[in-house]
Amino acid sequence: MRKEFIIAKKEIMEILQNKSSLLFTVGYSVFFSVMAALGVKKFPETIDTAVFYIPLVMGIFFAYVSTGRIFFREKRDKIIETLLCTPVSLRKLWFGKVLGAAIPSYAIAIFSAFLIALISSILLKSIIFPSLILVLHLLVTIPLFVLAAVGLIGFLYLLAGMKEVRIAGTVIFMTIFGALFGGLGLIGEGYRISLLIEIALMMTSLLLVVLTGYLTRYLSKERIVTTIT
Amino acid sequence: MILSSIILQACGDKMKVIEVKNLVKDFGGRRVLDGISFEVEEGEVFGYLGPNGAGKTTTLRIILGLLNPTSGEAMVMGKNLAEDDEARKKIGVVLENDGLYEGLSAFDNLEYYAQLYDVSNRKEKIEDLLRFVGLYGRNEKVGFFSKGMIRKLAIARAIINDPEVLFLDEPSAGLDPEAQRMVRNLILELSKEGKTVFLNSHDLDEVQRICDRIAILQRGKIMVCDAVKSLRRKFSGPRVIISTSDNKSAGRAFEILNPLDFVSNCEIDGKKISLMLKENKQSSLLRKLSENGVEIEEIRKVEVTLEDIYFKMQKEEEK
Repeated sequence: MRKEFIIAKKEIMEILQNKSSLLFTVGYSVFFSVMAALGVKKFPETIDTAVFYIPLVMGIFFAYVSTGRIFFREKRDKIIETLLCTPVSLRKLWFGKVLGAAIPSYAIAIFSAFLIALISSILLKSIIFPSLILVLHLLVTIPLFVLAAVGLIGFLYLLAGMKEVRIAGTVIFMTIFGALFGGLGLIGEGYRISLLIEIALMMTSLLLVVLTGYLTRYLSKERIVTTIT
Repeated sequence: MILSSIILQACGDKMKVIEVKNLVKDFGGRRVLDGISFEVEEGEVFGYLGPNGAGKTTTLRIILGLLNPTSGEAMVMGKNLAEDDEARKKIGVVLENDGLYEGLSAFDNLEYYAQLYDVSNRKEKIEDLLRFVGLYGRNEKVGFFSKGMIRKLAIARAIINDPEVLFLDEPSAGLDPEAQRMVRNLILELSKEGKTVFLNSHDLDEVQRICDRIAILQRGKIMVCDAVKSLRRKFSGPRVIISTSDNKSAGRAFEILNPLDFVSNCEIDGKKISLMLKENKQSSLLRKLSENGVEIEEIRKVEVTLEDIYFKMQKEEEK
C-alpha cells in the first residue's frame, strides 16, 4: 500500500475509534439535515438549495475540525518529529494526513445530502432524485472544496508557530466560508442553483487545490520542528 | 554496507556509522553549535552529554535531518538523512515525545510504524517485540499506559524496522528508578545484539553504566570525546573523601586543602570534604592536616565517576 494511504487509513481509524467525537459529528450532521428537511417540507422548491449548501457547509466544517485534530495535535504533542524521521517524505506525510481528514469530512457531507433527501422524501411523500447539477456538485465540487480546505489548514498548521496556529486555522476557515457565500451572493440571485454557479464553484475549488499543492513546496522539516515550541 | 562492514571487520577496523564534521548551527544570529566533530563506530553505545541548552538536541536533530546545519555535515552510514528517505529505514529514534498515539492500542501503534517502514511479517514481528518489552496481551489504548510502559513501547516502536543505529533522546527522563533500570537494560540488550546506540542524555549515572564512549558538550562545543574507561584513566588522580569530627574541622580542612597544587574539585558537605588528587599524594594530604591540628575520623579513596569528570570539565570551561 502507498505510504499516503497507510497514513490516511490510520487517521480514519483514529477518528472512528474516538466514539465521543464520532457521535458529536454524526449528531451535528443529523441535526442540520433534519432542520433542512423540515424547511423543505414547508417550501418544497428549496430542496435543491438545501442539498447544495448544507453538505458543503458540513464538509468544510468537519474538514476544519478534523484537520485541527490531526495536524494540530500531532504538532502540539511533538509526534510529528518522530514521523519526520520515518522513511516517508514530508509531502507524502502531508498528503496522507490531508486524505485522512478529507475522506471522513466528505463522507459526512454525503451523509448529510442523503439524509436531507431521505427525510424530505418521507415528509413530502415522494421520492426526490437529485438534478445533474447536484450530482456534479456532490461528486466533484464538494470533495475538491473539502480537499482544499483540509490542505490549506493543514499546511498552515505545519507552517505556523503554536501560538498563531489556532487563530490562523480559524482565519482560513472563515475566509473560505466568507469567500464562498460572498461570491455566491454576487453571482447568484438569492443563492439559487444554476450551472454557472456550479462551474464557478468547481473552478474555485480546483484553483484552491492547485494553490494548496503549490504552497506545500514551502514546507520544510526545519520549519515544522522550529515552530513546535 | 554489509560487504564494507565485513572487509573492515576482517582488517580489525570498525565501521564509522555516524560521522559529524565541523557542524555549525546558528539560530537568529546566535551560534548554538560551534564546529562539532565526532564519530561513532559500529556497535558502540555513544553517550552525548551536556547541560540543558548545550546543543545536544540540535545536534541530534541535524543528524536526523530535521534541521539543516549552517555549515558542516552529519552522515549516518555515509548518507545524509535529510536528503535520503530510504536511508531512514536503517535508523530508529526515541525522541522527547514517544511518537505514540494514545487513542490506539500498542499493537496498532506498532503496526502503523511497521507499515511506514515496509516491515514484512508484521504480525509476528510485532508480537515478538511486545513480548520483548513485556507488553504482549495489553490490548487497552496507550493512553491508559504508565510512563514506563509507554517508554518501553516507544523503544519497541524504534526497533520495529530492525535498525542498525538507534538514536535515543533522554530515554529515562521522567521515569521512576525501576522504569529507568528497565530502559537501561533494554538498551544494553540491544547493544549486545550489535546495534549502534546514540544516547543523548544528561543522566550521568545512566551514561556511565551503559556507554562505551562519550562526548561532553558545553555551550555548543565538544569539551571531551573519549572512551569512558580512558577518561577515568586520564582523570585518574583518585577522588578522596575525608570525614572530620565536626563542621568546624571540615571548614578548617577545606581552607588548608583547597589552595594546594595537587588538589582539585575540593568540595565541602557538612563534616565531609571531597576532593580529587592530581598525583598520589595522600600522605602529603594527611601530613598537612595533622600539622594544622585537624581531626580526621576517616579517609577513603573512591573511584572517579563520570560526574566528577563532567563537573571538572565544566569548571575548567568556566575558568
